[in-house]
Amino acid sequence: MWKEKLERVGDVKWRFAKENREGMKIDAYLYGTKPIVDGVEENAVQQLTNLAMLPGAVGALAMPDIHTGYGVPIGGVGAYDYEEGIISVGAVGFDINCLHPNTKVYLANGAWKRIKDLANTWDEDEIRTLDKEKKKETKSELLYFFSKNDYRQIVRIVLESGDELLVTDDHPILTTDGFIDAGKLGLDKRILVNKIEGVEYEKPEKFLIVDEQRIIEKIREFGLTGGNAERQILEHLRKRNLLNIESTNKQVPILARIIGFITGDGNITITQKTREVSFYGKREDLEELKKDLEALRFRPVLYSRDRHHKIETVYGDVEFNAIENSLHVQSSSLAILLAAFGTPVGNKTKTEFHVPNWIMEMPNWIKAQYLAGLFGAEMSSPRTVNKFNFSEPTLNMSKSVELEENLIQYLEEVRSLLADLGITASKPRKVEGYRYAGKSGETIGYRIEVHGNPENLIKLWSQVGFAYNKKKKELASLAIAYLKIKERIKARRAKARETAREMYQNGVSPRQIVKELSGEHLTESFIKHSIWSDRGDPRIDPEFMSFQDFIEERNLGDGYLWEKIERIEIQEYSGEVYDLTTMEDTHNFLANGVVVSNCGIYALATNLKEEDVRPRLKELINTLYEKVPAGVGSHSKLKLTNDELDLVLENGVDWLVEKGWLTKGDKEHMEEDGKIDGADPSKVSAKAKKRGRPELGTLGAGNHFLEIQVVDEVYDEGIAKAYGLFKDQVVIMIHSGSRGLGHQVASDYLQTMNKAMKRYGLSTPDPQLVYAPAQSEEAQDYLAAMKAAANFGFANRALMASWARNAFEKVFGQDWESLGIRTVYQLCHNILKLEEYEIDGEKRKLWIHRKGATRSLGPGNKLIPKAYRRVGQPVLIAGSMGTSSYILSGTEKSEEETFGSSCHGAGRQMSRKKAIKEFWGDKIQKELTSKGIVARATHSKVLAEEAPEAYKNVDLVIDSVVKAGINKKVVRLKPLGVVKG
Amino acid sequence: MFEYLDEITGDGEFIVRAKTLDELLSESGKALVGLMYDTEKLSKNKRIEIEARGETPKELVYNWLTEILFLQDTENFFFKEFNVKVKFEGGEYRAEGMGYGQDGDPSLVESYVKAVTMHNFYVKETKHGWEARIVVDL
Repeated sequence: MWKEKLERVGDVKWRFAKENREGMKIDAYLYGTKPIVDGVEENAVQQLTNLAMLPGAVGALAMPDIHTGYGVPIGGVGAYDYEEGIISVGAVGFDINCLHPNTKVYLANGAWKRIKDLANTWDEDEIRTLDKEKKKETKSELLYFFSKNDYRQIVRIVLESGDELLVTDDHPILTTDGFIDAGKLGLDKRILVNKIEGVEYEKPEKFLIVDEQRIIEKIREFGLTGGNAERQILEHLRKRNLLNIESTNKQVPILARIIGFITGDGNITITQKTREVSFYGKREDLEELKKDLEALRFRPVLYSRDRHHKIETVYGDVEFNAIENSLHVQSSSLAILLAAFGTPVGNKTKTEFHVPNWIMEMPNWIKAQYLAGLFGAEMSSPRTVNKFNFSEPTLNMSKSVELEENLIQYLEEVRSLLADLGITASKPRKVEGYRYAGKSGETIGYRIEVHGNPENLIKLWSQVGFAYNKKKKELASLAIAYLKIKERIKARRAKARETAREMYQNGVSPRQIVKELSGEHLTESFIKHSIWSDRGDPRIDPEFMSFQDFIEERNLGDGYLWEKIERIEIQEYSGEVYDLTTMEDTHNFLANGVVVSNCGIYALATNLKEEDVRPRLKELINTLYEKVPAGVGSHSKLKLTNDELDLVLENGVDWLVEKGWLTKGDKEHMEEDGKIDGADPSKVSAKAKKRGRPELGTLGAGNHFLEIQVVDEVYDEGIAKAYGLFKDQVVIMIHSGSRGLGHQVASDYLQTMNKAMKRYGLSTPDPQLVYAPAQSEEAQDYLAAMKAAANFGFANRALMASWARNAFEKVFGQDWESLGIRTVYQLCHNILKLEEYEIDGEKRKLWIHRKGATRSLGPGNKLIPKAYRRVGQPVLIAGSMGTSSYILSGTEKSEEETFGSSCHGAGRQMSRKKAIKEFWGDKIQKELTSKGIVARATHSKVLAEEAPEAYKNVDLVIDSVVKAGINKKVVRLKPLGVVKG
Repeated sequence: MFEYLDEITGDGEFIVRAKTLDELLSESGKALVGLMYDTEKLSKNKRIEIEARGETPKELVYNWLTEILFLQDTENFFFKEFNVKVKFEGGEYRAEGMGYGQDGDPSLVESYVKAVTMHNFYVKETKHGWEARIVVDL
């Protein structure tokens, strides 16, 4: 029912018109000769049309090796527009659009600026904004900013806390009923606010905080002088622009908060064995911290473990489970950098430390960031002692007895930072009853308390607040609003009391006074007491809601809460108004289901001829089988450390070149030079890494193989010569992927993307085909992880290639250079890339998804290695086991018609189970032997499921792409020997 | 109880039916590993803890099977049988189970499951208990 709708539109081109299936945005095309199309499965065609259904679809194609995959067909290519499909979601928060010049704009770095002061800096500033769906605060860059001279009505909205907003009447305000224009706002609406302001921005005076010299001193102080340590640390920091840091550097506020937090709940270890920075806390908070560390371009790893605890108490043994979370950065350079910034290293109870000097010289808003980090970790949470009154926030710290002086001094320093911000606190005092003699000596505790008067508390919580502590931050914002509302009511009561007394003295009757003055929070009895008693300042109305009830009624989450409007005034205004818009979620799409495990092919050429290899073929295959681990659970001879794995994920083949296992010449003959930029190891889960660590340089199982082949036909002498290929030449071909690491990445993100789809309200024609808006966090994370997995795949094949060279060296007793073993090309055929193509005469950036399809670029394309540029990119096509493989070249037509894509192999036509049923492994072995092919596999069934008969005839597939003009045939390769997992 | 289907080229697909969610997990685990090796030939001299979570039974089954593949890969463990208890706690399903089997042995491998997919995947409650359909990438 799907296939019958295919219409032939060319010799080898078939169209499935979009009218035939609802939801298709464009026509889909299939390339193949008649026999190929006759053999295609119904499901595969349906899956091809799925590709045309996704938002922003520009191209949906299938190559002749098409067969059913998951959601999309193997051999499928989908192209999606980079721009199209952008849906603008109204930005949330009332601090955007047309605003009064004095409006405060809260910045992501923790400071605030008046909107008029943003004029010169808006393109650098990031502002705080709310992601309403996630109920989470995020940061956003500004898309544009302008001011204009205008005369218009301005709305002054006075909230119950006394805070005011000045906005133009057409400015949308987020209320409990959605966005409403300010001019149409009624008093019955509640509006969304966040009370944590930060401190007004002030440009720091420029001075050098840390420089190379200081870093070197620290490296030497901790004795990290072995090997290349010093050079490496300096190089790492230089790469991250963290070697010479001036006070004006944008990373300084981030560093200030992190250092504050470490002083509370973190730890830096610098020993010969371990260099690590660790943090402890709740998962959600550590995730915030992770983002900051990533902004500094380090790679933190978050661990959670369920721990069983058993505690002996006077009531007996208590057992419970608790999840312990910790965040770790294993990086000498970060540890040294933080140490150079004056962060305490090692056991803090036993180390003397101070507030770093440079913090003292910074403007208040950066001092506040340091304190926010420290308080997020160590200061008590906002809480009430009774219904209404807050207890004094305390900062407790302990140290070993010998360091009592230092402890007092440090708390004094904190107190002086607070004083700079206009916040008062008590002098440090000893915590009575706290003296603890533990295993590591005796410790004592000291505390300071922030004075509990409302203005002081409001300053503390709104200017400093708490970093990396969602719960405390949320409570702080609520507490500020609560305190402000409460203080206003108290002030109103005081005023009413005074008025009542005056009226009474002027002879107004109590009944009249009560009648005139009573109202909410001003009861009859309160007014009467005011007249007849001489009580002083009134307390809060006992009926006033408790803080607990306030939280329940008003809290939205992450510091946002609903506030009532007290009054609205319309004013005439003439002058500048300001407008700014945040970068919103752009909605173009990355499909995850399309791209999975980053398989690919590596081809090596030799100077050997078939006659040289034939006599030693068995020995060669056995040696290869020994050198290159194959099969399920096969482990590499190379054990990677965590750091090394991260380097592989980030740098692909570059890492192997650095190690000297491959040459620069090898690397230059690969797609993307064997390294895809933008890979982010921190987006790869710990599980995926655990799978990947022992697997670099292993073939794996399934359809992956290593073959010794011979060029048995040359179709285009010129191009063959450019690729360095000639008749009877022996070639090595490796087909493998990114192994368990790639599979785990795919499984992890399948779930992430699934959840993202729900959140963005997206639908899919197939549950395996999940996708998310390209600029969404989920999609970007996936992209960074997929690139890392692709780099692993590149490095995996390359490492096997280098071992294959060693096998040849061993068997032939010559070095690989004299055997002429060099890289022809390496490519991957499961990948998502941002590429540029001309569509209707216009250059457009597209997200190209190739699932079981190969990139194929025509002559002249700059992405092709120099030596091949004149003739087009080599396209390596692996046949099925025991059948021919091909090397083709890309043409201009492939760039015009198929988004620079071609087929990748033969394509299955029989399921694996069926193949096992029909072909016996032994029989296959005999058949291969009769063709003169030496095969070596872990198990005979493995041979059966990959029996050549289970695949389409590769020659037919090649015919199709050549007829379509997508490729030129260059050489055909015949297998001599096979290694399989 | 499970049965293998043979509809997709290149893939393993199976349907599992069970009275309880516990049984659904242990049977789907057996179906999964049965694609890779003959569990009859395995001995039962080792055991390993398996834990999985999910907000829905579907997510739970997916995570459970992915965890089995993860453990097989990283612990070099081949599974013969499973024993599992599912709890609903804190808004999510939590499976705590034990796998019984032996050390991995490549010579026993018939084919290799790369990953669990969501293609044609469902988990549903039926009159008789639970049913799941799973496609894996071979």
